[in-house]
Amino acid sequence: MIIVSSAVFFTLSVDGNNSKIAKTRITIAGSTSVQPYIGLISEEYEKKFMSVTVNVQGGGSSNGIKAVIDGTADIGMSSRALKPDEAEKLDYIVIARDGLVLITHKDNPVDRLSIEQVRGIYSGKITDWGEVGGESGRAFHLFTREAGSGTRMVFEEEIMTFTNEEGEEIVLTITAESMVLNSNGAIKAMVSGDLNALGFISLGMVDDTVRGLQLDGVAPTLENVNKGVYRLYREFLLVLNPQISYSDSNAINDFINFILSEDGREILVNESLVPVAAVHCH
Amino acid sequence: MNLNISEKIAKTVVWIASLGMFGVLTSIVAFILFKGLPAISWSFLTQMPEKMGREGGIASPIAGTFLVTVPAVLIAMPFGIGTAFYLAEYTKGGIITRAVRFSAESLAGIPSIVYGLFGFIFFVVKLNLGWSILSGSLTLAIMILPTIIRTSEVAISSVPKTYKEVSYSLGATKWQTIRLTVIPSAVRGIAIGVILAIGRCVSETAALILTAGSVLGMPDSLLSSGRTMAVHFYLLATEGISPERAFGTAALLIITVFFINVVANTLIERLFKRVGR
Amino acid sequence: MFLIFALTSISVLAVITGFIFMQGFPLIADVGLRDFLFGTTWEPTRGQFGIGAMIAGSLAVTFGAALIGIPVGICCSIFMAEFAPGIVRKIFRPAIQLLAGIPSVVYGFWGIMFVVPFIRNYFGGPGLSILAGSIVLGIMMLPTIISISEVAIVSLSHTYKEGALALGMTHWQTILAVQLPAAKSGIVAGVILGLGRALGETMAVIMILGNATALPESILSPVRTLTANIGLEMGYATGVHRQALFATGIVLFIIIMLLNIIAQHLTNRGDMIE
Repeated sequence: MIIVSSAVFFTLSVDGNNSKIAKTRITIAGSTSVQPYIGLISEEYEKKFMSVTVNVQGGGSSNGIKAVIDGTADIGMSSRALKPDEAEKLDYIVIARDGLVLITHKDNPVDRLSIEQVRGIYSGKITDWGEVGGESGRAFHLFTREAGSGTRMVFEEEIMTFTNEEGEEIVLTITAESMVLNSNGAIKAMVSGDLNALGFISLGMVDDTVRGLQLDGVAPTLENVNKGVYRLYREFLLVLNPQISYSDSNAINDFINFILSEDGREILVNESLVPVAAVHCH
Repeated sequence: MNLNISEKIAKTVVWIASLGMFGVLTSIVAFILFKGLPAISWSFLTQMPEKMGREGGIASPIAGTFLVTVPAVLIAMPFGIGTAFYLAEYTKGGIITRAVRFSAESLAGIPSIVYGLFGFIFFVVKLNLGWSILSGSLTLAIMILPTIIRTSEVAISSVPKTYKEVSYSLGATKWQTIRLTVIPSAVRGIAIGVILAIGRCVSETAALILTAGSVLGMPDSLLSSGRTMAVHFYLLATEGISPERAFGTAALLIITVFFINVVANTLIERLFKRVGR
Repeated sequence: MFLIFALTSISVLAVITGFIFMQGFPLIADVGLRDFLFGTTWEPTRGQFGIGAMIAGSLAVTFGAALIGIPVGICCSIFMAEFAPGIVRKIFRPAIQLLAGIPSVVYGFWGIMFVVPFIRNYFGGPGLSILAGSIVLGIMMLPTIISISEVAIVSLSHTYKEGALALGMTHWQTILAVQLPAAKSGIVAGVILGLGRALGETMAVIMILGNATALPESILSPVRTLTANIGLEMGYATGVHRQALFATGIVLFIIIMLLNIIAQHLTNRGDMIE
């Protein structure tokens, strides 16, 4: 008991310097894809403005949006577009574009795929790597994100949804045999070790442990996303509730301005995001 | 002859299984410690994480772990041990007894994710505590309750009846008997239960992500959100943020559990010396 | 006195059960019990809520884990209670306690680093599989089973053992015919706790099973358990989807209740020796 209590006091006193000053607190919640970047920015922000604490929570885009509507969070993070009923109640700012890249094992001979091929693979129609230029006899080990993930939703909207020759919109489901992992990093780790694997992750997470595939002939680079030539991307949004008057609203405005400033944009670029500044009000 | 051979075979099998199992388990621990100990340093322990965990230390997850575990154990112990005594000592086999036992057994089986679900809806949402240390702690308290009840009950009821009979025959009351014979004999088993419970708190991940959240900052009150070392390790490891720090956190987790065990075991030894057994 | 404490246990259980059922039942009513339990399509965004594949997943992985964990666990507890020399016992007992406290995420991580690649390279498939799950969960169950069973065996009154030996039984016979049955309550308690841990494990299985929603074809197939289903999607789920996850929780809850009831029956019969 004594040991435990003293340990508690010890750890709490480690942060001793700052904890005595009354702090303004900003609560941000939402997409786990956006969270790391906002987290990084908020660390820099806290260093510059020591009287502000920024709490960055995950929980998913939907939860973040709901939290802002309910008032339990000051700012929401979303990696998907707002639904109509959500857009009615909230303002949003697009802060960045994040490319989505299809990845394989580094030694996989296949280095490019067309959207139709990706669609066929992920819907289960194409089952052998030989059909897309790889070695025959190898089955696909597919990776996807969990249902409700912004990353997955973008993939489903951009790749699995299409208009056929008759002009009908067809929505294909990702095959039930694909494996589901709950973070970009986890998918990257698995794909990097499995020759038969195929997955999709944020451009910001791609490094030299995996190979990023060209999509319809376009290489998945920051430039190409910026130019709009690489078409598979989603926008990261900050979501605000215009109806709530925040007691800390100056702090919130300052923080958002920081994100959109040169410093903020630089952080995003370092992480391979394309900073965008477009404010949408209604 | 047959008896001898089957005896020998049985013993060999048991030896092999045991040594093999210990080998595997210790190799897991050894692997983590080998990779993780180099990462542990004073600054690792006292610095806050930076760059979302890529750099810096793990001061806030360490604090989070304590803040979430201590209240949980303090709340669960009286309820748990009390219930165990009730079950083991006061049973008349009535409906209440059976209901209590059924509850304790059932609670023991509920998976931590279901506690997480409950904690999320009840503490975080309905009671409006939000993602907080308090939500996490209360959820943990409920979660470890059955562990404490169960192991305490095994310990208490394992006290040989002869001890109690001798005590009664010497004229002691029920409460005196409990205090002087049952408790000292059962302490070791009860303590094991509490240790298992503390261990469970320190290791819990899923339920805590849903109730205490995963904010990286240092929690400044029970209503702040915070991470524990286990949650931090999970996020670092699965997202590939920083292998060194991941191993370091895991190594620290193992050391913490080791430390808890050692402290608890020494306390028990001292208790036995005092009771004079 | 103690009664108050005991009553809280009942009320806690009641509250939890009540909540989960209230949140999840409407969905089961909507979808229909049979479709929910036996349907093998889980596509929440399209309104399809069949958890059949996940029930299969949970059962398969737990069964596999039991095959590994129970025999080895009981062997080890016998070893520690009866065969191990004093010094060995002094080292192993705290070691087991320590191992029981290691977080499941660490086991899961070890699984990703070693078990999954091993299976992928030597047995085929993606490595994320029922086999991986059974191995890792089986190992995870061991400390729980061993520590509780060992306490149960060691706590037996010496008269059991001495009586049997005096009658001329060998050591092993004594163990098999006298000590194990006498310690049955404790051992079963330990095993049930261990099985419960395996069935209820969330983090490790999310990390090593692959979480595919299709019915598994072999032990090398990836699979999703009921727990993983909740753990993966709870953070994002709203509305009907969330209710479906609570409903998954109900099913999990009931399966484990059944397990406990079976256990209680077994334990009651064993108590007759006392």
